[in-house]
Amino acid sequence: MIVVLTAGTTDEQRDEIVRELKELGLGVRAMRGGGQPLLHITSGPTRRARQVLRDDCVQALVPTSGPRLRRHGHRIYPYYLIRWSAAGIVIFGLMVLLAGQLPPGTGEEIQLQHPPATLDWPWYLNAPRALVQAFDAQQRWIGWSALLGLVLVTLALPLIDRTKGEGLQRRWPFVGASVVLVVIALYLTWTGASA
Amino acid sequence: MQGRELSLRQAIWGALRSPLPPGYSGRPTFGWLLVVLFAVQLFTGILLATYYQPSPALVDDSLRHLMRDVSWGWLMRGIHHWASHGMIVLCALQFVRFLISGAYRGPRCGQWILGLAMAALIVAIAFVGSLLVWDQNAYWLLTRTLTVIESLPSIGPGLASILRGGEQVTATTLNRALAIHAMLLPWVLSLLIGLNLWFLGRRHARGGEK
Repeated sequence: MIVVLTAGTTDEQRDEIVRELKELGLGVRAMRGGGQPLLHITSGPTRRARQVLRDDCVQALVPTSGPRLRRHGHRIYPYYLIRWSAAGIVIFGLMVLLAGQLPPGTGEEIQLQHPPATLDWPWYLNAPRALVQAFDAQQRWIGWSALLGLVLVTLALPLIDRTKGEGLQRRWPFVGASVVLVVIALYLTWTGASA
Repeated sequence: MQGRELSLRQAIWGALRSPLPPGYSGRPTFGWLLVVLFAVQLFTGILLATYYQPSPALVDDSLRHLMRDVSWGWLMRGIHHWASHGMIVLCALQFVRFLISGAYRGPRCGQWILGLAMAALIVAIAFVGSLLVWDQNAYWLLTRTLTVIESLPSIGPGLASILRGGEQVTATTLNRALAIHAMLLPWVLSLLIGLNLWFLGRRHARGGEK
């Protein structure tokens, strides 16, 4: 919102209006434009500025384009909300679709004396299980140690990677290692623990 | 935004009134979708808990009743099941994004650690939840998992005994699995999500994130 003051407004009169606007809770910046003194309302509920229209020095109020204002003068930019809501609706729709097309089953009755020949582990445990089971029973500890080491390195990455900037030229060892790790993890997840 | 200490309300309010930066690529959406799916999980989980009977003799009947007789019961269970998988996929995507872009460096270090802890919790909640079906596969998965935990040095036997509730996998084990899945871990996860939002809000207030 721009408050346009008449051309003959003195500095004292301008300061008086600025003081009045600040008392109304508005942030004001004095400027000049088109040969006239102007007051740019930078924050606060701009509709309150209408109260200064009764002052003879105020020629007009010019609303500036921009986001709507809500109570307490907070500016609302609903773009995040709109995009996030759309994304939320899409993912919820996907869940409903999957629930209808691939409903979870109830499984077989438990047989305490007859464990199944193969256990159906969840897919998200395939990669860590494959890493551990890559070693035979006597050397399984190597697999566990490797898994633990991987977790510790991942946790400590901010301390290990001290590079600056986003460029691939500086970060290529880390980007390369990350890509290799992701590809291996995907492969092990896909093939399962038998790999 | 006054001061550097922000409440959760201020963090959310700040996010809502933030304009999109030029070239916005939808990056924050992964985190938001995780929160959405977590809310879905809480809602459907509460509904499922009203029908689920945590007793080995009654689990199967209660699940069949839910799927066949309860209005929209099949949908609630299906959404709960798939949303848990969805959360893990989103976690993995977020992890890869952080890893490739190097977003774990600098002021995001805390969020990286928090994110890894949250990912581990989400996987743990999903895995324990899959055991609550209490069928042949779930029973033996649980038995095998407890054997692995028991083999851990020093803390293993004690931890396995606490989780199992005795020497054998029994109704007590099922009850403990339910308590861990529906009460303990979701509360911890909620706490971490809140902490993460607080970190985000604080960084946002400092101008670190546009």
